[in-house]
Amino acid sequence: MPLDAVDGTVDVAVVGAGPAGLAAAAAAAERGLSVALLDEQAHPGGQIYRDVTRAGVDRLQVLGDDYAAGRALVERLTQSTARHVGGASVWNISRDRVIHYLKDGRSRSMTAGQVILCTGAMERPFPIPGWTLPGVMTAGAAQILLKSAGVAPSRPVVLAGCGPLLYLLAWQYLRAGVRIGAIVDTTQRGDYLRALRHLGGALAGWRDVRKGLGLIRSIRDAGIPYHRAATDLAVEGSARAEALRFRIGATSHRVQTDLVLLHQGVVPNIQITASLRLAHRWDDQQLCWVPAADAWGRLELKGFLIAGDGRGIAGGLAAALQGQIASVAAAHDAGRVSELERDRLAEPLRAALRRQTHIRPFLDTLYCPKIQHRVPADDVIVCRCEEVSAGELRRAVALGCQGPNQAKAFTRCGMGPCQGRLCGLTVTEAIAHERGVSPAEVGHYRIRPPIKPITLEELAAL
Amino acid sequence: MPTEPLFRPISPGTEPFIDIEFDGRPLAVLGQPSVAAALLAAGVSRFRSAPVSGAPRAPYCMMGVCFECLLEINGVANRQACLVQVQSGMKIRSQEGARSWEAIHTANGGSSENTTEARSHAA
Amino acid sequence: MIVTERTEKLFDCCTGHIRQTDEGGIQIGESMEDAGFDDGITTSTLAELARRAVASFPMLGQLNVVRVWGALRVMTPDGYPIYEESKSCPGAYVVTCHSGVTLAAAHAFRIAPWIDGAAAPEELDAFHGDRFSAADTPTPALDHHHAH
Repeated sequence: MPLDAVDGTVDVAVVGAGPAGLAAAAAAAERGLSVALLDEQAHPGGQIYRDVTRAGVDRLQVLGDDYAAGRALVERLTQSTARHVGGASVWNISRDRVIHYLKDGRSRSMTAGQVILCTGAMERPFPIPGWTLPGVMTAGAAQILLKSAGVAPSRPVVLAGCGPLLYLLAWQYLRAGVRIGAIVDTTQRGDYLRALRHLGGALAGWRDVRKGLGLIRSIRDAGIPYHRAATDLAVEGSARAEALRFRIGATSHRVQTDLVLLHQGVVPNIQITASLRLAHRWDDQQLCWVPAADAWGRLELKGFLIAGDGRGIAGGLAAALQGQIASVAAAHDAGRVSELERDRLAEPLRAALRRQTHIRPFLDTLYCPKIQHRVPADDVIVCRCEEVSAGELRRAVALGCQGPNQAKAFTRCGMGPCQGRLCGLTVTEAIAHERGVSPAEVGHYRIRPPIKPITLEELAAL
Repeated sequence: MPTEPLFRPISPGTEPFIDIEFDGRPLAVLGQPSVAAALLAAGVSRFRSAPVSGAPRAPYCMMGVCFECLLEINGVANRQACLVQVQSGMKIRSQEGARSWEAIHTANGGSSENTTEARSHAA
Repeated sequence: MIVTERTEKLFDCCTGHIRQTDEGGIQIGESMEDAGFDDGITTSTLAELARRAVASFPMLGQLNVVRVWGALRVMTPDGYPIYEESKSCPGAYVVTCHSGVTLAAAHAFRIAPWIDGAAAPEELDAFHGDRFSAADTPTPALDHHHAH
């Protein structure tokens, strides 16, 4: 089926070429819809399958089978009539579905009958003393370096925090021959006990549990110093990271290193949904904002759907299923598929999705990020861009600041180039704690375009 | 000033190297990845100074979310280095503080002499 | 309104439509639109603001926009201020106008003394709030450009 020009109109525009977007775009195109898949990277894959089509044998060996499985998704997209628009930086999406994006230094636009947002997740901020020093990065960043550049730490690295991604990275580093100085795990005894409540779900997802246990066993067998139940993490150093300090019970520990990789889970990236003024709810289990969507992924604004980690963290396999479910709904809403057919197509997808998400409550409880690493002490920087500390934010609350948007005016928190991506959750929770109310009541930043940077020149040329 | 790199290739010898310039000095870097990745693997561990305090900053997320990897690339300042593919001959400068008038002026084709002239007129 | 990233001090003075904050960001705007209660932005307005800014000062073209902004401005139906002392609660005043920056001198030298106890300026009668409910023909809307 011939596609309309990219700068024109499409039936479905998919934003984000990770597992959700790849699956949604291919499935929608297979239903006969004209589809454009926009992504800011040159090559499809999103973050979890970053550069999967360019990975040689060595890299695939190190990264493992789950990563390599992304190739099948890209293959399905390539076989379809969906048009992949790489290097496209989406800077605005209007409520009437005009997508403005920058590509090759020029702003372009396309109008979509429907928009499926698959912009995924980002690392949860980890505000601890010294976290802004050179030499402190996220575990996700380290994985991207492995996937997109084939590079790994050259000297003993320290991995700190909690969550499956941390252990996966350690396992990948072992396969690459990287020396791991220490793993500092913040998971507490109480987390295991609380997680037991969700054991049923975990056992239903027993394949994931087995995989996870296998990872952890490899790490133990490799003899890496493994510090458990760590608290009070802090990075030491003046011009760069020099060591990671932490406590286990009453004892203080210090591991020397010039590279600290932090991780305490990932959270939905809500910049686009927030800029569209869509409703979000505070998820108490995942401790983050989640856009309000129905079982199909339809958002409250007609013509907008969401799939993947952007609608709640569930992993890459779940994301691909959600992408297909959303595309079936889009096909129905576009009149290509009857309601009966839509429901019939969705049934096996939903069953598979249920199997993927069984383990979620168990994982969310077990690897719950610690409050002291979400709402930090006074001297810790909360807003990296504008260098606003937690103490300054608390003083603003004492002066009457009620929420994140007021915090912008009181402290400039959230007014830097990252537009609140890295400080948003911390600010919401810190204000909630200070005021003694729920994060839901405090709310989140008002997000304004441009979602991604655009120069005045590029804007003038619109 | 590049120090010993924090990152190294997992399969040394398989990736091509290209020549670029960093802060006026020639640097050989991996030819394939983003500017940020290439620089980290070449020993650049400080990318810029934060505009408020001047504190040193370097890449944090590598996926275009944190805006810490801002560098001046071929005369254009404040580019997210993790989203730009490295290319042979690129002239890259670390970003010190807020964006400078000189960088903007030069990028627009002006020379340094004009800058001084413009300043004295404005005063 | 458009706000750019921080840059070294470029402007020694400000104009009505382009100014640089202490932190270094350049602010460009304003525009005026009848938008009811919608404080969002439109890309066509943004493009126009950007075009004018770059036409006036070409070197701004390379600066990144970090955010755009829209807000609701309170405006009376005829655009003129309301200055009135409460009849039921003498000593309580309504002073609302657009814009307070443009009218600063009038407020300092005419309104403030009145509030402080001096005789009401003659022209104040024209600014009673009840002109909106009392009028049987609507007062013509002010040409907005005059207010600035």
